[in-house]
Amino acid sequence: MKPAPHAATAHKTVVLSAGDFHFGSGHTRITTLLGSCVSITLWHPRKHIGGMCHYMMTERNRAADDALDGRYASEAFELFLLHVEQAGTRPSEYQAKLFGGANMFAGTPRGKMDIGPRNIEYGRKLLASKNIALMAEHVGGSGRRKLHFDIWSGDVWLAFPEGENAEIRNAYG
Amino acid sequence: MMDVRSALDAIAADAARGDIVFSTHSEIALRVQRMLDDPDCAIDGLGKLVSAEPMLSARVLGIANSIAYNPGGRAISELRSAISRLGFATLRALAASIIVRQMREMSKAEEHRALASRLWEHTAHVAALARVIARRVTHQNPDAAFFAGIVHEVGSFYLISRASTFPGLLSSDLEPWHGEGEARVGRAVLRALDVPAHILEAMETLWSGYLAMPPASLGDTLLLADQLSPIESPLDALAGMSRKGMAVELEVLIDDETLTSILAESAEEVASLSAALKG
Repeated sequence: MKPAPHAATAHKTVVLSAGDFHFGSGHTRITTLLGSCVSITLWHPRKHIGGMCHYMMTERNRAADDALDGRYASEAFELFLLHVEQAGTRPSEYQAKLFGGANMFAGTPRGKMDIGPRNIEYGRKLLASKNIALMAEHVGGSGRRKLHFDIWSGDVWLAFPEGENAEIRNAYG
Repeated sequence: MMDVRSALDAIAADAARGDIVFSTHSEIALRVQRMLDDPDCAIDGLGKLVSAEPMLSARVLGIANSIAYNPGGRAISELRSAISRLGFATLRALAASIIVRQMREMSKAEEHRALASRLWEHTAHVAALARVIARRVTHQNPDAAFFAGIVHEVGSFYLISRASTFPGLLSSDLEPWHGEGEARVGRAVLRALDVPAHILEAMETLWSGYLAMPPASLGDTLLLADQLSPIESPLDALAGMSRKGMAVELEVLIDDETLTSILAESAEEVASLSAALKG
């Protein structure tokens, strides 16, 4: 797998690890590597602002004084809603895309290990609950996905070499 | 221990020297392509040339009578009318299909020919899907997408054809092939076939592996067709890149429709086209 598509615009890159979250504007590319985790991108088509989360699990019992934890879908979504409000916008004005949720245990029967599909379904429900249009999704399968989201254009690029040996090598590791 | 990288270097160097020997069937297909390059190309001359090559004639008639080109179900059996119905761009793609398919005959070992046959089935599905995706999803030129689909595995066909010179190559870890190897060999073979620049550009997108979501370009059209094809490349399976039945779920909104509904509506068209191409 070769490096990511060349972006004509000079930009800074934000690398998201599992549980991270970034929301912003301008010439920023958010990039991440997904297995059974799920990333959602939200983009405002008029204001050209947006963000990406990278969650590992659906939800937890959270104490009232615990900070929001982006490892959980429900809390990553709360982070989105906070930034959407701070930007003076409404959730339904955004376009969403959803990625990841691969089955990283190919060959195992469906059951408790099936974290990928649960993460996908949970993400879809969160978006629907706020009437956010889901424009595109590339989910399931087996193997890793490398994702780039260019905030200035809303473009998302996805590399998905499938299978047990699937690896993605590029400048971001 | 097989040195995969050295073997791939040697194969890429051979392909780059341009000493690929195409079969006699392919020679006529290449002449058809050259005739199509002539701005004064006349359909009568083309008809004569195509009729001299039975595999190409059969393919031209088969595709002209497929649902994709003949939704009204009016069968034709005459080559000249079939060429008019298809248009020159599709004829060019079909001439390429003869050349690519004939690359199977370059293999000496039976097991390699079987691999190449499987690769041709994959190719036919990708080409048929790419044409429909171009027309209905990415709004690219369907003929260009069809052509790109037909030639998208030429590098792999060439690799298989050379496999008997490097015993053990195909049973080794082919990871370097899926890195830069396929692109190097593919570029060289496509140059030997005089493939136009916009097709080469789409191939670069395919080799980079990065799909725009939602898909937009000719390269995206090809990548999407490759990912959605029900028949995988047998080289992916050899390299441990198989999906093992774990299909990806891919959805895109296109105006008021979804990719899934468009593909469901187009299933018959894709089936007829890939069947006619496999022929």
